[in-house]
Amino acid sequence: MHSQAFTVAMRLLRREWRCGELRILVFALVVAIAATTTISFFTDRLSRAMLSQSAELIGGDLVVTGTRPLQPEWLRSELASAFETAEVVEFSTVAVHQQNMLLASVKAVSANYPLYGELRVSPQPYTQDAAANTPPDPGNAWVDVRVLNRLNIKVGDSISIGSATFQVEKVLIFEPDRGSNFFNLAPRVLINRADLSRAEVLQPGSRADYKVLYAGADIKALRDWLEPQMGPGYRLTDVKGGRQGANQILRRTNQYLSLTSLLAIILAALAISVSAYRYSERHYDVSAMLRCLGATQATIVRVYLIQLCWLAVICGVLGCLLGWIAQEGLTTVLKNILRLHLPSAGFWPVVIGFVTGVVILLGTALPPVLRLRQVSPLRVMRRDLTPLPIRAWVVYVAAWLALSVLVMLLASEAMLIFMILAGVALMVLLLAGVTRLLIRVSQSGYSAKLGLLGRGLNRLAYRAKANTVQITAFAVTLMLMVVIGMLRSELLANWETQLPENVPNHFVFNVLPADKLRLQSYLLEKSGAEAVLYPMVRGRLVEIDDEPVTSQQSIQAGSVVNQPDADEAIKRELNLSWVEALPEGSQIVAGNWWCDESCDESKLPEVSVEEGLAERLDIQLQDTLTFNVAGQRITAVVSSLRTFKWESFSPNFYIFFPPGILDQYPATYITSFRLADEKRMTLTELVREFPSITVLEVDVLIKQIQRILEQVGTVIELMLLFVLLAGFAVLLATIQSSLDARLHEGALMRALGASRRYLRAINIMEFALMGFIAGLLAVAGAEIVNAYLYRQVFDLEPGAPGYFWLLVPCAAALLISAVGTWATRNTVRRSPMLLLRQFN
Amino acid sequence: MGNSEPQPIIVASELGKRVTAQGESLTILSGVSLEIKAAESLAIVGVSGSGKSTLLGLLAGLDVPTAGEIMLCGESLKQLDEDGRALVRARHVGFVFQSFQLLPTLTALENVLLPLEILGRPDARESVETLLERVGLSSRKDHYPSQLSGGEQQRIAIARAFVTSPSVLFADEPTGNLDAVTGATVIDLLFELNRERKTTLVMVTHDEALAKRCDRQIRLDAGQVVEA
Repeated sequence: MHSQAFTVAMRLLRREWRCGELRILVFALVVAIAATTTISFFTDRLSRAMLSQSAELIGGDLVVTGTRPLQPEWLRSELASAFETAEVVEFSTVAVHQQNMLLASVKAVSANYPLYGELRVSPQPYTQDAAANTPPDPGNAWVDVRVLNRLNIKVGDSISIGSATFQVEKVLIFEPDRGSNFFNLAPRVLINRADLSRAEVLQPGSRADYKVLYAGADIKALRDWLEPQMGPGYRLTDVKGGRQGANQILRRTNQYLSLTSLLAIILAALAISVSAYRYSERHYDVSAMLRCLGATQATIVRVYLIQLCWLAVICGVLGCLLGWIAQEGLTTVLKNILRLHLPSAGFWPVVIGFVTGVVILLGTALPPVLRLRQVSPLRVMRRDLTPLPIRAWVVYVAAWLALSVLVMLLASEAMLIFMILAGVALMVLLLAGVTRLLIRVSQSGYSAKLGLLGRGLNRLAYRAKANTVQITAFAVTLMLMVVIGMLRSELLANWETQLPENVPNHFVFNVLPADKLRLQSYLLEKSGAEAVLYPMVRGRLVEIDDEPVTSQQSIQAGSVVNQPDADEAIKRELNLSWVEALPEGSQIVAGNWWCDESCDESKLPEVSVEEGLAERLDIQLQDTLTFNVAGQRITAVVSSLRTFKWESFSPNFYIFFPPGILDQYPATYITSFRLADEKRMTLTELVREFPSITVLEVDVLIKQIQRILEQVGTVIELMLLFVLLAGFAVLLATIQSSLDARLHEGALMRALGASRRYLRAINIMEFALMGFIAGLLAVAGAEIVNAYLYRQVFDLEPGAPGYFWLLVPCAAALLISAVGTWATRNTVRRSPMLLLRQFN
Repeated sequence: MGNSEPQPIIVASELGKRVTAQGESLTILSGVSLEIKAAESLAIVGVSGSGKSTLLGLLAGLDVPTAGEIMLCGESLKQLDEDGRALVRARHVGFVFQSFQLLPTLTALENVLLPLEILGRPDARESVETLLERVGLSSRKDHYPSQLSGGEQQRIAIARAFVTSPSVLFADEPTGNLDAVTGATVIDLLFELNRERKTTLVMVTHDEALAKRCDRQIRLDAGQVVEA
């Protein structure tokens, strides 16, 4: 009995494929599988890239830092030797060339450094840089251009550090793990770890940071082994601590991509569900005939199950193949970001693609198809006998469950996706209700006065139930397309504004007050932009709410461990600044920017604190902070907390005072400015003109981020294509679902004398109306969904531009009437006699 | 006993069919009893709405009566569930319908082959070819129903009905959708095959002339047998 079901199933399937019955269903299923496969192939690689970005920024997957020399077994134990390791020692000391001396930040690194990323160096100052994958050889030093300027030396000259002499071999442009806290750094001298003992600068008690960088897979085991051995003065940092901008972009991209694939899946599921419903309706007669010829209910079920499984297999193969090709494309686009040795595309995404196909197909198509089992054989004589309709909720719950299972399989951020699924379910209910209402309104009798428009309205109302389903399907589809489209533009625009073409690429600090005005006009002349100079006064935070900071720090030890900046903020001197207006790139997140005199009740000066520092040290609004500035205590009350956009590349300060508090203390100034590549030689001139200043180039970092943005933008556009394809499948499937009724009606009307033109016109009018209504509902829905998505997930300001309310409905009216007219072209093309015979 | 009259192949006793439509109970058939012998041909006649097609559906096991009992080829349909009745249909019954009921996605040949596939005998392809030749359509076996005329479609339907060599053939207004000339050709074919294969024929028609070609007629009026 099984084999005959198989024979019948395969024969019917083959024939139906040829007749085009299954095309939309197959198309939608292939799109869903391809989208899933692409994303799961790709996210694996992307998330590795993200981790490597973080790893680059801290120097390894796990980093041990201590103020005293590290235990040798941390490098040499069996566990540690399973990892790639590098040793780094950083300290401040004086670099000397003849009579000139400079306080330099020396970094001594072992031969394996850097584990992630690359060093960038140039043979001469301000010339083209190149990658270097190994540190300087013993005896050589790579130095910041500032070292050359300040010591007045050239590449090839020698400098002394402690009792050792080094030949300056290259200009150091970029270290991957240098961090973003640029202006706290003294000029860098990079030497080989092997030279450290020769230099004899580090004695017991000397202040230095000792680091071991680890790179490898099983960080957890290493962490568990190291953690109990960490005495005071040591800390562990892992990649999760990294919260840098580029990383954030990749994280958002990843979220966007999973969202995109999920929406493609939802849309495809919708298309499959609609096609399967029509498929089952068109198979009542076939099933009745099969029953009449003696097929049992079990045989009928088997026949259709076999068909569905075959479809899943065929679409699975096609979809996985497409997915593989697409992810290869994406990987090529992103090859510069993904410069780690990535494993080749594995087998797992193929499994996920197949499972997705089977789950979607069975979840959405099985309920309507199983209904065919209940078709009475008597239908062959009485066509009005249709099986009892399955309850709508059975279909929806089945589909929702199927999607939820998929989400659990696929989504890395299940909560987000569940929220979206719940949102979509809610939107479906809402849209169905509103659509019903609109159709009711169109039934109210005014339509007779409206000519062709009225005829379109009548047609809408005539098939109210079917049209409610159609418009809802259109609206959900358009809504998801609008959501993902808006999000794409918003993300890209947001990133673009974050890193505009003219973002500053140089920092200047140590500007003496006497040089301030002259430097300003000099920079205006050279870079063409007004530079804002911020005053900078060194001070130490000593008390928070009258509690000495050290105890606060110990309370916060848990959260401080992974935040190397936090204790530095306390341990070292902070740069304090003052400013009248909130600087560009900053945003108040709590409290208010400077009060005017009327609200100054505490009599204490106000202070604005960067949010991250406030979080780490548990500083609240209205807390009092006491600073030690040049031996004097200054107590101020926290009146606002600020965030700062790192991407603005303008100077940032943990602490801002209002003008008038710090003015009496010795200050230097800092600024950032943009210098076009071709003018870089003027830097030498600048440094000569203002001998006291320090110039720091951040060009390489900016270019790196710009490149990431560009490529990520391409990836996002490519993925949007899947959503558009799936959306298109829904449109076609939905229109096709009413095709029989339309063909029949069209044939009758033509038999009664309606011209093709007239028929075409009312078809267009009906579809355009549906499109317009669906478009309106879609924008409303997208606004609601985006309000959640933007704020909770992507840190963006929500709000569709106003013109969307006109653009989307009109575009939808155009699109749907075009697709609809094309899909129903047979109502005006095929002979009415043939059609009437077909429906007899 | 050996040369006694053939045994009845269909026995219906006190058949009744009531349906509920819009809250009202409607009697379609009541108290219908009849016997049909093997190889006999029976016409069920009556005006529209008299219950002819309902009776045919019940006798063929396509529907179940609300009263009475039917024995078809020695099996009590009352005792069987829907799948059991499907098996009886597959083994013993063939159908010809007014609207042909060919599957539009299958070719003429595949339509005729379908009952054999359901029975698990897809190998009997030769008998299919023979039958197609017998109905005069072997040259059009690869055509789809939409490419065939009404008469040709009905001839394919007849071939499909005979391909399993059924004991009983049920025909529901087999010429209802055909013009007089084509209808006559189709009916001739039906009767010829019926005779050749000694099949029992139960036919619903409102065509008196056609009814007269059958061995026996029963007339229905308002769900009851008024003339047998």
